[in-house]
Amino acid sequence: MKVSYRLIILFGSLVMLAISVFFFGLLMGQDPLRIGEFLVAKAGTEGLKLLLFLVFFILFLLLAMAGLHTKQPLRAIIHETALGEVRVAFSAVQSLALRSVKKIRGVREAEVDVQADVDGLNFEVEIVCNPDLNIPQLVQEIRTKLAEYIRETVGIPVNNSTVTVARIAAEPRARVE
Amino acid sequence: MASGTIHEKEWSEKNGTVRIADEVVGIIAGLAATEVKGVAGMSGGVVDGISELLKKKNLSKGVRVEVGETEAAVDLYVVIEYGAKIPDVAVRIQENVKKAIESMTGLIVVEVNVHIQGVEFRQEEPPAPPVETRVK
Repeated sequence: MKVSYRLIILFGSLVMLAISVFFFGLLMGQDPLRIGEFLVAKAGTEGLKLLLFLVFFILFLLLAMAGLHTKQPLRAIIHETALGEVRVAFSAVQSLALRSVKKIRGVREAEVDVQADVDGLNFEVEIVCNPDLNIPQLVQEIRTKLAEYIRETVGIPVNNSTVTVARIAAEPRARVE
Repeated sequence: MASGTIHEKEWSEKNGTVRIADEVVGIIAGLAATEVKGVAGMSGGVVDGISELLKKKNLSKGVRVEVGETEAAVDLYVVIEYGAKIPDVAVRIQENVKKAIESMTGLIVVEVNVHIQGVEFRQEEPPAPPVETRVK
């Protein structure tokens, strides 16, 4: 469970404790904070009541979310070996792919998304390239180099890679010759 | 992370029992894994980070072990160096960890699962400027 959810639950439980202590105090005939009077008072406390309503309502929503939250399985590529499993997180594959794409000459910026298939990986690459380049050639180079690099480094074939040229970067014009 | 609770291995011996805490197995596994070339470090969670802040160094960071009477299973959360071949590095980690635990504790390692959590990109250093010599 995430730390944030634990904190919400801890805070919620402390609120419940405070409410239970308040009712226990009422049972004993004690109400030092005069909360009972505050609750029945009709004028002058609307703002505070509204604030308390909002706080408790938000707390309810957070607790409900924490209760209903299901843990997302970590996306990973799994290799089986004689000694156990090797799981490679998608984020690791993604950063490797991004690095290999950015190394290609002509690519200025890139974004990579990876998806696993039954027998390999699929990549979606979005690039911003330099002007005055043969784009089909650049796209082909990206696809070939990415597939080679991933097969060599991660040990998994690349089934398909879609390369989108999102933009061509403007070349800064030299002010002097 | 190796759990702090003591699941211990016991050997009935003549002079008493020998117990090996989970954390010890975790430390052995962590050190054996980081020895492998291509491993940049271990990847720990929030708890590991906090315990590292409190302690000097958390040697069992990124290691989860399960120790039985005679067997052990290990999960390692690893960050590898950029340029390393993941399948090769992972197999070397598995072999090294198995060898280290078995030789040091006598436990039989049944499973070593390697979780590659990330890649570390070291900054490429610029080439050093040529040293000018005073004589030709």
